Amino acid sequence: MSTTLTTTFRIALIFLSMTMATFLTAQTLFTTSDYRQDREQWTDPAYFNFNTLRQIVNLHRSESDAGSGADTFDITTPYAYQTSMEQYQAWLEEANGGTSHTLETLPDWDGNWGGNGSWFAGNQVQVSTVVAALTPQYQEYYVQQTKAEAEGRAWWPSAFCLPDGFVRGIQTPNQFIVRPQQVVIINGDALQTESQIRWIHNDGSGHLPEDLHYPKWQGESIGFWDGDALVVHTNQIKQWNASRSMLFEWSEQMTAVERYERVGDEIMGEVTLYDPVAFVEPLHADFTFGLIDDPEVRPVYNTCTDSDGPSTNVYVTEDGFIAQRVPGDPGYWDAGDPRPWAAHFAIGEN
Amino acid sequence: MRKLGAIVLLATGFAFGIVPSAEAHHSLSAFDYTTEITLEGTVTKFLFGNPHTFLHIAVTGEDGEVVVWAAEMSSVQNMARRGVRGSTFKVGDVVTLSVNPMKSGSPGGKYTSVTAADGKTYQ
Repeated sequence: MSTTLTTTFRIALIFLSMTMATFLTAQTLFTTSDYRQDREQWTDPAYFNFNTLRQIVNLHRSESDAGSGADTFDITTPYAYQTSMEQYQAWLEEANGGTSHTLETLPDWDGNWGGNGSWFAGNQVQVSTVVAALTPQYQEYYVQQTKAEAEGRAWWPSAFCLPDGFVRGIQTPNQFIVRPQQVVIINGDALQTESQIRWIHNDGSGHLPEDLHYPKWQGESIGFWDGDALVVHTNQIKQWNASRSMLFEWSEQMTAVERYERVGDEIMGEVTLYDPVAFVEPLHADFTFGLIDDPEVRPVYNTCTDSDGPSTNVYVTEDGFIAQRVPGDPGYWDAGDPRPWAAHFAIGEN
Repeated sequence: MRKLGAIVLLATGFAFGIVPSAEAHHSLSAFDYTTEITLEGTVTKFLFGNPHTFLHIAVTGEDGEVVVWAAEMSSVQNMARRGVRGSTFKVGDVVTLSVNPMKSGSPGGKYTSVTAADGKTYQ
């Protein structure tokens, strides 16, 4: 109830601010000469001209920089836990140490899944709402990313065929391979853009010893079954940015607790992200994954380099903009060349 | 190669309607969405793949110079949903291609529509 009231109050404030903004001329992200000097305005939706995360990302193809003001999601955790391990252990205790499954009793999660990314899709969250959830240093990183997007200077890892990282990856599970001691999640997404894989160790062995820890794209995940629900704890997540629509960055301190359960023809999921370096309180998102009913959509392994080259076709220009090489340009990667090494041999032999 | 007269139509502004895609593999800010160019040319390569399909066409300009244009398309699955298959374009086909061009001025862009040799248009 309190969350609903808070959300309603926030929406009312935004629309009041939008009305006021038509009468007042104030500095915005689009007019400022130095966004770093405007820190006190960063949590005001008017500073971002009431744009949602997605609207900022799509500004380069929009007629106007005026946002919709939509802001209907609460992006912080509904739980009172201070750390991800505290949440995981509490849920483990509530599950009486977890449910032991055999191959016969495991839930049926077969199929090809596609999903929606909740507020991570960026459609209904104001930029200022995300800023308010971040620590000062990560606020600055975030506004820097937002300013770059607004000026067409986007920098997404995928443009350079780098991995998307944990936050973008968890939104696109394609298949759940469910076994008693381990769950494998293949992130391929319905668009077949990039393949990623996660292993969730459910055998009770926990995380590896700390002297074997190092940052990983998908982190290291352990889990247990709470009846037919899967609970996952992940640490050792590589510091990165969320790109696509969220744009926020996280540190190598980020850890996560996820929960998945099949309800009818959907898998309902949630994630709580803990990062005391980057977030003032944990972030939270809910997911819904549905079965893809299309016989022509099959999971497929591919890498970004299949069509975009090994980070050579996309590059940053001298003035910081993203550009792309085409046939005839020096350094162009010909994705259709079946023997790309031959060109390099020819250079050496000449 | 058959010499073609290039048809280049330049449309500025936003008259052609922009519908943001639900998801993008990477930012599309390298393309100029205020401009649409229509080209007629001969297919030199069709790369049906992920995360992007590419269509290359050779376009002959008014000065007789042949320039290869590269059009970035979506993933196989997205293109299949729009009716494009691996057999839709063959080397030598004459096609009409519309793109939002590269901001850099290089001969490439993000496809907006393409009319194949059999007259079918894909958007």
